[in-house]
Amino acid sequence: MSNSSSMPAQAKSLKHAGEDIWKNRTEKVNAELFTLTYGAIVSQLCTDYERNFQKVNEQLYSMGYNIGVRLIEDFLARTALPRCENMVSTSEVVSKCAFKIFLNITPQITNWSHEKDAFSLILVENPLSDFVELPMDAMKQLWYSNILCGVLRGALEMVQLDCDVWFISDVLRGDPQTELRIKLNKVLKDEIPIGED
Amino acid sequence: MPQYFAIIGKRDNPVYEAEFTAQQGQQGQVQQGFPQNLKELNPFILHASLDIIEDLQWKTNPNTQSGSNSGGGGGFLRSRNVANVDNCYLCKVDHFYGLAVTAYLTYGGMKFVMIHGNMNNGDVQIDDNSVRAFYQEVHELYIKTLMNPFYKINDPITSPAFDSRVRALARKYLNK
Amino acid sequence: MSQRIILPSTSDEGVFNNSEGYEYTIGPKQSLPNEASMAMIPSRLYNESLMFRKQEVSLSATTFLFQGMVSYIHSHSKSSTEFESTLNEHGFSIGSKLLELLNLRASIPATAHSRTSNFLGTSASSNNALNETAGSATGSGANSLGASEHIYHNHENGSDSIASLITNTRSRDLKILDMLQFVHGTVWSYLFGHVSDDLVKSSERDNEYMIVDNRPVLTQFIPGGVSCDYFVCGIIQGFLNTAEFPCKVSAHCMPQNGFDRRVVYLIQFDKHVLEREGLRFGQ
Repeated sequence: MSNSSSMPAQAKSLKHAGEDIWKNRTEKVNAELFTLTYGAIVSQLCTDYERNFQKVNEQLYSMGYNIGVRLIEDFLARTALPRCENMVSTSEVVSKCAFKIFLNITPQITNWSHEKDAFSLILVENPLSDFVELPMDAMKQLWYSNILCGVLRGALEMVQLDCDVWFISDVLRGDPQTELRIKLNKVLKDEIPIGED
Repeated sequence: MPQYFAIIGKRDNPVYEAEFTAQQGQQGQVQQGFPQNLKELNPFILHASLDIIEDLQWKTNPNTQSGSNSGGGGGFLRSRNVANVDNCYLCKVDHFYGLAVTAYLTYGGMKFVMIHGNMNNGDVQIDDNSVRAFYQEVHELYIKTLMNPFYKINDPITSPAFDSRVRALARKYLNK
Repeated sequence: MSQRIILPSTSDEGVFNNSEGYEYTIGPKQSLPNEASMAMIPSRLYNESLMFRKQEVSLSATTFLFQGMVSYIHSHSKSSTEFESTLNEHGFSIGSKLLELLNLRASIPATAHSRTSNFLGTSASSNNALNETAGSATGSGANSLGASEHIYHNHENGSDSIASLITNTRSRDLKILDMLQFVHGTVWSYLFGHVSDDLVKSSERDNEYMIVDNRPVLTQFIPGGVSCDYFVCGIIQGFLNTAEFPCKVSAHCMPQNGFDRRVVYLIQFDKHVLEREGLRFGQ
């Protein structure tokens, strides 16, 4: 958290931009429809994969990845943000613009690695997981909101950031907080994105 | 007085059952539950009333015909000062010797049914306001259960958290 | 559902002494007076409030998610019929939840709103509050966060349980038309922010009704036919079937007046629904 105060000006303006877009340029729908739709997806996957929760995690991740690679265009078109110079500004954009504009939440940025290439997002609110109680057999295996990891992975890859994204903890599993980790592997070379040639 | 409470699913399957024991308060006194022979009968008494409930389910004012739907003996047991205009809480629907059966229907047709045991062989007095409040609170707990994407309608509700809340409601409304 | 029909033949103690929840193979547990002071078993789910918090997410997040679901189902379906019926099932489960939830919420008397004006005020206007504080140093995120913590915190005292605000529940709808009015009005507003554009009774067949949506929210960015609208068919069907008005619902694309994505949801009730209505309420 000390990191966000190291560049308060940028963080503040991103925050302002995110809130402005949410308020003035975002069509909104009832969050409960979103929650219920996601619930139907996860419960169907658990049935389809016969409660092999590892498989369910992977499927949610890949569903998210496919969303992320398309969602980034929408995001860039609406924010018109310049390219991030480092992971610190990336983290601010993800939290204060991306999460804000799409889900109307602003996760806290914390737990920076020493090299400043990895950070955590703490999701105090999570519209995906309202009204959810994991069954006993899923408690230790299922990452209920794993679609978010896939979305972030896919979207960041499209802006040349090759990242690993995974959940460290989830209140649904009885953990004290929901923590999502983002770690930069490498910055991809500027080239024509796959599928656009 | 003890109660036997059950949630009956849409295939007449038990979704949840519980037995509440009266708290007599005095130390050392034997707590009054249902006698063992009655305990075993409870599910049968309850199921016998399901037909009555299904009939009441499609009546516009299920509570206006008080008495007529419970074999003629129910009307005078019901507190008349309660203006029951809703059709979820059905008041007393049936009786079996000294026991009274009350019922409540959710919007999705789940049946909440309760057998009210008697205290000293006297007839059971139903406090409709308390019983209704109990049912409504359980209804809300049931909806929370239903909102969980991992819960399927008609599945037994095995959550200890649900169980402990229902029992707390019984203490609050039924066995004060 | 698990398949345990027979009691485990091993010793009983483990079964009867545990303080777990209801076990349907055993039957009701008796609550004992010495449990009177027993603490409530903690649970996120049961501590959440069912009160409508009027929270919103972006339309694009919802449609991206919807498209993710659609393409997953599409890749796992062998035919368009299978695709439509799987999508229908997803909607069905949501419809049966909404039947209970929205009816109970509709039971809250208007006067209760003023009694709880503090609570409802903060959540209902959270979006306005968000807007007003946008740009100021205290974040809107912190605002709504505070509100939700407030909700969780208070719930165990019953201060924002719906039941505590209700004296009489909203009447269960017993007639076809009352059910459909609720879907057309309350359900549509809840899902899509406006009532449906029309509710029509078929002039040809007694058991057929139509709900019209000029501009379907979820499928507006998906090119092609009405297959994807079977999700909403499922919601309607789940709502009506669970209320014991069994029916089939299908989607039909019928452009009109410049609404080229206009969808008509055709609801066909089982014959016995009409028979019951004739028997109970006369024609």
